Amino acid sequence: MGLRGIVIGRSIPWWMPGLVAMAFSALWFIFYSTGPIDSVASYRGIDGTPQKWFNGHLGLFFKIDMLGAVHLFLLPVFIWESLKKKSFFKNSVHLVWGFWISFILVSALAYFNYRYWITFSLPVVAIVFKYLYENLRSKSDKVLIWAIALLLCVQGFNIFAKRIYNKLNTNSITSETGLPQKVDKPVDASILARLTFKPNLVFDFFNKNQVEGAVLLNGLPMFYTHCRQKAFMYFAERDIVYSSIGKSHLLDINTSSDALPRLSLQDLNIQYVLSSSSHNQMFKDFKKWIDENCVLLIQEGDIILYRIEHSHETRKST
Amino acid sequence: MINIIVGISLLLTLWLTLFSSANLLCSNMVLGKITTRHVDRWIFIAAFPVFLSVVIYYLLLFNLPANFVFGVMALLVIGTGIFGLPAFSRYIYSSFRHINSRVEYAFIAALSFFILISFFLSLIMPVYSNDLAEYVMLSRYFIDGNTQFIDGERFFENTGFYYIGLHAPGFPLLGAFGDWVFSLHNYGNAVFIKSITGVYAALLLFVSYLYFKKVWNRPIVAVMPIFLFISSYGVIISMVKFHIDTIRIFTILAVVYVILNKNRFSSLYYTILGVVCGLACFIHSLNVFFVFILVFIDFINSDLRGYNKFLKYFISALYIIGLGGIYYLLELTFGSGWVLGEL
Repeated sequence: MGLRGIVIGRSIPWWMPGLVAMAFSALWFIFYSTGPIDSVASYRGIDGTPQKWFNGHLGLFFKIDMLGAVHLFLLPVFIWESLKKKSFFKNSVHLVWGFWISFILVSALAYFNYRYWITFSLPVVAIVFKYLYENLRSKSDKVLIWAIALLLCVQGFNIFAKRIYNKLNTNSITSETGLPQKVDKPVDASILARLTFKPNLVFDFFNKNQVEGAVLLNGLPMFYTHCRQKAFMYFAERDIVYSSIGKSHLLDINTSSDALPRLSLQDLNIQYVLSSSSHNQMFKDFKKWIDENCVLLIQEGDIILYRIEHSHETRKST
Repeated sequence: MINIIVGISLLLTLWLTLFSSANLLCSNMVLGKITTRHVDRWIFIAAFPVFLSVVIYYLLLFNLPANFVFGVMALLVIGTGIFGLPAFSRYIYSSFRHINSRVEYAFIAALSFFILISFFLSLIMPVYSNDLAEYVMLSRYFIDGNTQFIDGERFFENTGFYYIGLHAPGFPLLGAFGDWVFSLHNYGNAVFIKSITGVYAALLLFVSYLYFKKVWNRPIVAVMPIFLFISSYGVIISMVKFHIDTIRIFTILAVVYVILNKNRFSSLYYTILGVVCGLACFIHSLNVFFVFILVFIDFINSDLRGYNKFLKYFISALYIIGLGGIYYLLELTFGSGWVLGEL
């Protein structure tokens, strides 16, 4: 069996896609370990040109830390089958087109979140499995089971390798991006306590006391579901507050190109800020503003409640 | 402990009633004459709760009181559910009677265990993640009779909440229905909306298994792709973490399934395609794009010609707009502009 027989013939060795996947796993590690820039993008693994392409736009195949290497098998399947006269996809060419157009759509518009790639996951797995099954059908069940076992090993390798990599490199990530270690739930508590964790001290502060003033929520809408205190949503990464006047900026620095009005804290009677240590890092100017104008009231897990001591207006008058 | 057991029992009862009602209304009355395949029936059974949320959406759109709407829907579901329970039990029994493989028993036992664990977590875990919190807030407003979001207004004055999502309210409306029923038993704390993730994750795996079993005709082979699917870390996260993902994926894969099996549905294909596509759109805005692509590809590939082809797909389009697309049309014309606007 020469090279032509391996690539184009019927007897494609089942271990070949596995080797390809392993090789790309190594490549992924190289890309992942280059210097991160933006904390939000870093969290999503798309912080830099190679990461943005491999973990973002082509994430269906290459974001193997979340989706597994099985998706990567689809590329050789597509390439090798397109070289054949009797294609594996001969009865469903129109659906293959649908797949690629949908892929381009998500790649262009929704690449930043791996959850959208999961939509493709089941069809991808079904295609890959069907391909393996049809190529190994002539052999025994044992070969098929071993092939699947190898695939699962590759999957497991990627999942655990990512966790180990993160544990080993937490300090370097923290120093370069400002993204702290994730401590949103008490680490030393029991599993049940971690599952049921919510910042009760913060919620009790508002629910059991007659507190005046609204709260500025830095990306934590869960506050609405536990407290009846009036609150406004703020997204530090874009520096946008959503309130009765629509969208506005909290700080002087406009992060987006559109000119939005600046929020008046006194008009909306905002006296508290609810944030988390990881959310604080989303925008460095916001962290600076917190340090200068707010006093820490309660910290529970990762969640922090601040009281605003000096609003913009007060600062100006002084 | 008693609370947990009662809560899980109530969740099981409500989901069983919903599916029993779906089996009576969709599968027995509509699909029974067309197909006897399990996958078809389960897809319609699973799509019924979304259809229910579409009906609730229309009733709220016409400013009917929320308690009246949810009450009527609950009576309808519980009534038809109880009435249809014998048929549903017979259907489940007839499906399971053919099980003669240990692999199949193990798979179904694992799924049942997963559903129980998921219900348990729905009861004990608070609403924590951002997206779920937004859906829960919408569902609470619907329960309270505040339908300003349906009328295109996104800022809620009393709490300061501002909904910034792009999706039609299928998921929060379904959650509102379940939690309205649970509030009668003091289990209304967003328990039902959280349980949707687990139920549709189990349905996704179960229906996929049924389909793979039909394709390969062997339980051991049908289980293998399921194993591969759930071996992804992201897939496990999306099935365990309460979110819209599982119902979103289920509804769009239902569309792919219907297109793959178009020859079996004969003349009713265009109606079924329209219904399934419309319901997929009503869950998530990404599904709208997927549906557009899939229907367009199917239109190009269709064997029909000329006027007849346009008429058939026009009927499908009407169903899509009527069942899910209406929200996006209203958003584009009177609301925030959907993807064209700025949120």
